[in-house]
Amino acid sequence: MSGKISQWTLLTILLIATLVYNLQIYEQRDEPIIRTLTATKELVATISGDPEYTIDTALITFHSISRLLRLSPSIISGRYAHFDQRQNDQIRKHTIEYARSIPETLTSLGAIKNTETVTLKIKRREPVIVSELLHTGPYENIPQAIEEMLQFIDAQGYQATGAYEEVYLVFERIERDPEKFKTLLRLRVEPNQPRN
Amino acid sequence: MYYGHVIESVMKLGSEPAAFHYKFIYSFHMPLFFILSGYLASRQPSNESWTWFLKKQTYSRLLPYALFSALLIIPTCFIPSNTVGLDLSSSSGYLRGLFSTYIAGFPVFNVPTWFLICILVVEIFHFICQRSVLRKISPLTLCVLVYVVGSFSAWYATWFNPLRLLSPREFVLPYFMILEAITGYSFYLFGLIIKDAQFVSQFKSVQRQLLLALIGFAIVYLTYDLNKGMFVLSGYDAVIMVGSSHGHPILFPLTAIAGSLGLIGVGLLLCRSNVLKFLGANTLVIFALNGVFYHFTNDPLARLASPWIQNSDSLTFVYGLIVTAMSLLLTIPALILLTKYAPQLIGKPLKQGPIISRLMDPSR
Repeated sequence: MSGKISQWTLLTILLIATLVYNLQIYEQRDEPIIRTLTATKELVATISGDPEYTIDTALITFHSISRLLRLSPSIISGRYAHFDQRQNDQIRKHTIEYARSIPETLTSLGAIKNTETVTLKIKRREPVIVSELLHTGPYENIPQAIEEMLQFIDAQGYQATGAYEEVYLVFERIERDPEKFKTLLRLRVEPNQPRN
Repeated sequence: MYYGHVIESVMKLGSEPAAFHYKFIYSFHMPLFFILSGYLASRQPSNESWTWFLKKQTYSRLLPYALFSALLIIPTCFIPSNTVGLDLSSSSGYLRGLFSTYIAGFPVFNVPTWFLICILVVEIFHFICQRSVLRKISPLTLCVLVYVVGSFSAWYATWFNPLRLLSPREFVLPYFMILEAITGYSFYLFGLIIKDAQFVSQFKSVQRQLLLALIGFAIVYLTYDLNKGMFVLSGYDAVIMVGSSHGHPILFPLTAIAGSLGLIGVGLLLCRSNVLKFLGANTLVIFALNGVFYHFTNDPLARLASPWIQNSDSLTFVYGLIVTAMSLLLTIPALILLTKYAPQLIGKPLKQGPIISRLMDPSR
């Protein structure tokens, strides 16, 4: 009898712990975190221009290449050399590296050539530490989110190196309402040097 | 499985030959385990009660799963390891790992043990089907139906793919490999079908066994790279059952069955080896102990060896074989000790041991 009670007690404790943990995850879903990204092999398309339009070029490029090389669908990210580029609304011409993951078996692009506006490369991204935030809403609000991330990074004892990435989870191709866009914002970070 | 995991570490360093070896092995190595498990099952329901069956499954599958995962939790804290994408550099990542392992049934600290959870669910499916569906329809019909359901679920029910746990923003749900257990059950039923058809008894002579092995592997060799997806995991151009990433719905079962039959052919050729018999009887522990190599040694060894083997097909193969053989040899002392002193903890709850008494009474 006591054995049965202890089993049920244990199960109840586990269920409550899971519930509490999941509630915590739910509450912190829109808060920044620090995490390490694992190494991946990627196809990178470097495109210059207004991000409003270069993303379309990137999507078309990746779609065509994926069909030609029979690659499985993958999420796409856009990398800026510095997060200031996203924050500065005045400048509308940036060089952005759009990337998607590819398998190790893909070693060459075969007959696929670069165009005047798109430069293609197969690259390996090594593990990196990033601060990550899930941003829900239009791209115009991203600069505010970056500010929030910078404060968080400082509070955590890290500093942003400058490199900035957006991972497009829900974007204009699949959702009309900009309020429902979901973008993962990633700022590459490194631990602060201890002060003497 | 050992070879596949050794080669995976080489592949992650950017080796093209390793990527093809990986794709070749992964096209059939896990389906084989489901087929072999089904081969040992029965179509007719046993007289076991639900309570007895669940108790037996808990002791023979969940207990080893929990123990072998627990074995690696503390070393993971101190030794750099392959964390399969879960960020274990912080306490929150670690906590997530614990929840994933013990609540969600996805073993991030000892990944190879996912099969224990998956086969547990497959055996529960079979227990139910033995008493219901299999009385009305043939195993072949059920096998096809289950495969179709499994195939669609793997692609469309991604919300129930346990790899979601690797993202720090996803909820911990009781995944318990249920999604992949559907496909796993179709291979399990295939094992049952070839058993009922007495397929293996057709291969008594060495020539026939050799022919089975050669034809099986020839089919895999000719077809494994035709499977170009679409894969659920876009970064892997290979069948990865733990992530329900199968690729082409026809080429996947074709290579899986051909490779499994080929390996059964090899098994029949080598069935007189006592060492292999011993290893075969302890597959579950071998699975679980592979976690030690998968998480801690395969990656550093691959980094050491990669300058020499990087782009050579044959050297990659030789390296894979040597490390596989060494890893298997290292498991043997642990296997002997566990089989002798604690068989109850490694999936044999009915056995009486010198330290722990049997966990279940066989007479009940």
